[in-house]
Amino acid sequence: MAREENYVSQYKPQWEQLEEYIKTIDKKGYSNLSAKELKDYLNLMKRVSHHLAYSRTHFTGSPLCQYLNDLSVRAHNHLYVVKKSSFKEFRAYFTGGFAKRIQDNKNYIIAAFLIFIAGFILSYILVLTDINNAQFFLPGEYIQQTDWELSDSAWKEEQFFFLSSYVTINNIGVAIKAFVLSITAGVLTTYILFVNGALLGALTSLVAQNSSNILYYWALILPHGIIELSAIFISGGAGLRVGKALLIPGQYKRKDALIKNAKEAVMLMPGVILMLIMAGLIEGFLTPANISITFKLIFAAGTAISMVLYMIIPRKER
Amino acid sequence: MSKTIKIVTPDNVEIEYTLASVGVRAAAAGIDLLIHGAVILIVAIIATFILLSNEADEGTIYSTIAIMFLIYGLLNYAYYILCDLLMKGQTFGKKVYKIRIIRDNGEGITVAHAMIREFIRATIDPLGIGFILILFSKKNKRLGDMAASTIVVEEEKMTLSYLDLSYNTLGKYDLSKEEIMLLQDYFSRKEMMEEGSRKNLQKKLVQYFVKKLDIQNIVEDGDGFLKSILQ
Repeated sequence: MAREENYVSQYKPQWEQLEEYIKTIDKKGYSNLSAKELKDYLNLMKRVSHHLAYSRTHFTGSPLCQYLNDLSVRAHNHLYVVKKSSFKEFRAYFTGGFAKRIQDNKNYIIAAFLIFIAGFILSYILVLTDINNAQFFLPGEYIQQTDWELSDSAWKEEQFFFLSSYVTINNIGVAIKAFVLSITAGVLTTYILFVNGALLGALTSLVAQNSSNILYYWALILPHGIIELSAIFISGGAGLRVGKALLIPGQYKRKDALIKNAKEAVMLMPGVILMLIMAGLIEGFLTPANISITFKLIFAAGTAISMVLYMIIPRKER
Repeated sequence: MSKTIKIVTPDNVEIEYTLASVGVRAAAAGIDLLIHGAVILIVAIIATFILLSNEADEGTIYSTIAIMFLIYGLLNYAYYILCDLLMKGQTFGKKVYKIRIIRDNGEGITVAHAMIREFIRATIDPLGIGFILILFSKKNKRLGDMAASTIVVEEEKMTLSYLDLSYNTLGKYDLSKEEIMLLQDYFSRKEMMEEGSRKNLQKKLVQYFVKKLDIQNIVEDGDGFLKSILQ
């Protein structure tokens, strides 16, 4: 008999054994293998890689090489590709990892904040000098129809849940866009931040000029706005980081800088999404509710303080 | 010819992955979209019933719309990330076509990769850029794959039975590898051959194997004989 067939018949039992293990893992996962079996699996896998290397040299181009390659791929997949992310990791992220990442990226987040504020101040001043300038930022009809006293809520209690879910989904979309569109070297991220700042600036300016009690306005915006805007700044900061990596890749190639920074920056997004869900719940249920302004403003201050505390406490683990 | 990619395992052996082709990936994406469509259809039907029933007051109507928003949000943003993480780099569509997302270095994807791919899919891919890039990319990468450094590969499916087919002469007839390949070649191509030359070739093969295997009987059915020594 030819050497190759000898080789096959000699080692076939081992390959059968390995296929058996792969099938078990496929169906029931690692936890059903005993420690001894697991060791056996790793051992077999190593052996099969040797068989593959051997047959590549001695039986070049034969079906055996193809088979052993496929077997190695499957075994490799199960050892290295099939990775489970645990609930523990998830919890660790929200109790510490997210705050740590905010601290690591604080310069980018502050930059995002400044771009937003620049838009805010510019439009505020523009509208202050000439109220007609507000048309640049807000639809004309909206400006004319709105009752700037803002004293009674336009939303009924039945609509709260709807408002909450709509606002949350919409905001998450904006945050993701602010992050992803940074692939334009940060240009569109900057644009989104600036325009949103300008929108808020124009609105604030209009209210300041028309309303008798501006506290109504702040009570309408701040309870959810502090968390919501912070989330937008964080995702904007994540975007700016990617944009900077594309503009100034440093020692890396542009593509590698993009990959590396995108991977680190994107880990801010789960936190951002959670913040937006919280903000959405507040915006849907608390902001339009019939509660005194004082309470709403105290609540807003509370969100600000707890958020700053969460971000400021020094974190070690990643 | 499908594209392959070589990855070096920690044991320092090169293994070869076959990249999933554009068509297969589009089909897998189609199945995922079908699932989305089915969910939305069911929700829409239920919602219609609720909204049309006479008892629906304002609160119910708004809640129904709100729940539809949430389901849309979940499908759009969470479906792919959750699938990729829980099913280890596969969505239901990818599972059907036996393809899987892995990192460029052969390891499994993490949350970060899943999120980058998904965010780009949700925001930029609808513009069609992702699909155009996949056609020009060397490793069949769409924009999300490039930014997350991932590839989509085929799950290999050659099993022992395939090996048995190639080496099944073990013990019965002592044929060499070349002889088996010759016979397999003959059977796969004989339909395309011209009648005369096919008969000629068949005769030659039968003569050769009768002599080699030292068969005493007279062979009448040439193809049947050749098949029987191959099996």
